[in-house]
Amino acid sequence: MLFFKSTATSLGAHTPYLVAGTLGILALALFLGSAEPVEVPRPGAAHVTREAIPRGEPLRSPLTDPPIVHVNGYDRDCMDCHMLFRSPAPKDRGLIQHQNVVFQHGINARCLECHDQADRNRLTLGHGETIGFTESERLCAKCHGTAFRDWQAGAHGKAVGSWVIGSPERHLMTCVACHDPHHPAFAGLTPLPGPNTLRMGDQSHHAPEHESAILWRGAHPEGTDRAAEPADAHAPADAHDPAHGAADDNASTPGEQR
Amino acid sequence: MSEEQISRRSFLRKGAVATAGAAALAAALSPLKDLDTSDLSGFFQKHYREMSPAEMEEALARIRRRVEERWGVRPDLRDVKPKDGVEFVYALNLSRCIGCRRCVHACVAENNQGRDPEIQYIRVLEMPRGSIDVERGDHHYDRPTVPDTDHFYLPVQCHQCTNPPCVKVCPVGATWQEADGITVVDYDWCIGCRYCEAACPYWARRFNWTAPELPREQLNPDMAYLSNRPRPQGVMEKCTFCLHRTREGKLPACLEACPTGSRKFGNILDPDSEVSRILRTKRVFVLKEEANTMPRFFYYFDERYPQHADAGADWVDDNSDLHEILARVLREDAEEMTA
Repeated sequence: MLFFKSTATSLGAHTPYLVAGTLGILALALFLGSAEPVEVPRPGAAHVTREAIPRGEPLRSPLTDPPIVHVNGYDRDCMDCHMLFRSPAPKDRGLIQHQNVVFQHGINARCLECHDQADRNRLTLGHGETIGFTESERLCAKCHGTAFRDWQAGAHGKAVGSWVIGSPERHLMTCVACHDPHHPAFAGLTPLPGPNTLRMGDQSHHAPEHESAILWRGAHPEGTDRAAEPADAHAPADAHDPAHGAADDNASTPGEQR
Repeated sequence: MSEEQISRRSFLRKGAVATAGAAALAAALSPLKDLDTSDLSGFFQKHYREMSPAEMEEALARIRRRVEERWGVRPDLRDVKPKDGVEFVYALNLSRCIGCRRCVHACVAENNQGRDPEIQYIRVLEMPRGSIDVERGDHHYDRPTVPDTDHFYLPVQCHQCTNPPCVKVCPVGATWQEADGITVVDYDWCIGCRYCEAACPYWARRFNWTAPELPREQLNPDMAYLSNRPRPQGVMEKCTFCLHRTREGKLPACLEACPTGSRKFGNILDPDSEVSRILRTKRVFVLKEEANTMPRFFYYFDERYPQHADAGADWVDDNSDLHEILARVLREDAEEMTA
């Protein structure tokens, strides 16, 4: 009885602390129960699929020696046709065959400056020596010496597979893996999406010369999905004006292109 | 103490103090809600460089288990050490880069960055030709096609500095430079203070504001402890030169994806490597040289600036001058011969 009495007395004495403690526990429970992470604004992710990204494969498939083309389900080399159908005498004329060739190679404007007239499976170096299509970089080097030296040193072009010099995994791409020899200029590409700078907004207004960039974004609002763009979208458009595109198979007159 | 001493005023005061204290305690403890108490080994994990091989194996096993629990994919997770006699250097040809951002997204696909919001390690600056003022660079450019004739493109990523400011400012030693020159982060040791992000002159470090969202089909299971294993919320991350690839002889993902061959990577200690030859023979510059960071990332140029001038449909027209020049030279030669 004495115990209960004293407990009651002390309870009365500590009532404020008990109440405060209860409130505190209630606050704790409320806090733990309702605490939500702060909502962070999330601009949409740039949806670029892995398939849209090149993974080191060559842009073009270089030809073999002798070059093999697929005609009506058969594998043919160039001489299979060119032995049967002799080209007419050299004169100023457009192409009858090979009309898919888009030819824009500057002043190097005639077929037989690169292709050997006698053996169409070979390329000519111009002084009697012919080479196979797998050695075509030697032909390019005749004019593009600077790029050729850079390529030999590794400053131009591309090697894939491994950085270890001499590794069997390492594969050095040749000129024609990236450049079409008939129109070698590297065409433009559609850029993949840029950064989503969180909560920083459009930063391009700092510099006045970026007005054009702002205009472009206005014309192509963000969220435009570019994922469907194929990785090799740089391939040039189809055959241009045949007057510019076609070249004479047997031409010997200079300047017929222009 | 007697009942008379407790006034209404003191009751309210003490009650308010106790409530505020309890609420503060609750706020401080609230992160514990998310603690996975079933496995506390990650909580007591040591710093990367202090772990014994057995402890590292234990940590790797735990991370593998976590990845498998979350994504249902068994990752090929390993701890790849630097190779002796190798120091990595990157070189980038500014005459060839067209700003297509294939490298940016190959990096994202390779390194398991968060996708929403998307974290990108590489920032491509579009800059007015003839200037090298990065303050005037725009990384939000969006054109139907690149390159633009009036601009050139400067991709910036971690420069793996020899004298890295980000390492100096880290208060907990969570980031350091490895023997092959790559600056790495122990994501389990980082406290997310972002000092390194502020210290970096190249804007190369990224912070995980949210728990990284990464769809299962986009997870790259080829991962290493110090590079592309999935990161938690609240830690820093950065380009590691794809060390899970490069330390095993492969090339970085950004290089493999580049359609123009602008990117060059290799061992600077090997005099026959591409980067050694480039540094010896080409015109090379480093970005923000005055910061004395001594980067392992170099930009170089070709002898002429070709690709903008003669790209696209203007090619033949531009070269029509050459026809005229050639014709004039031939005519003058012929006149000299006859004279």
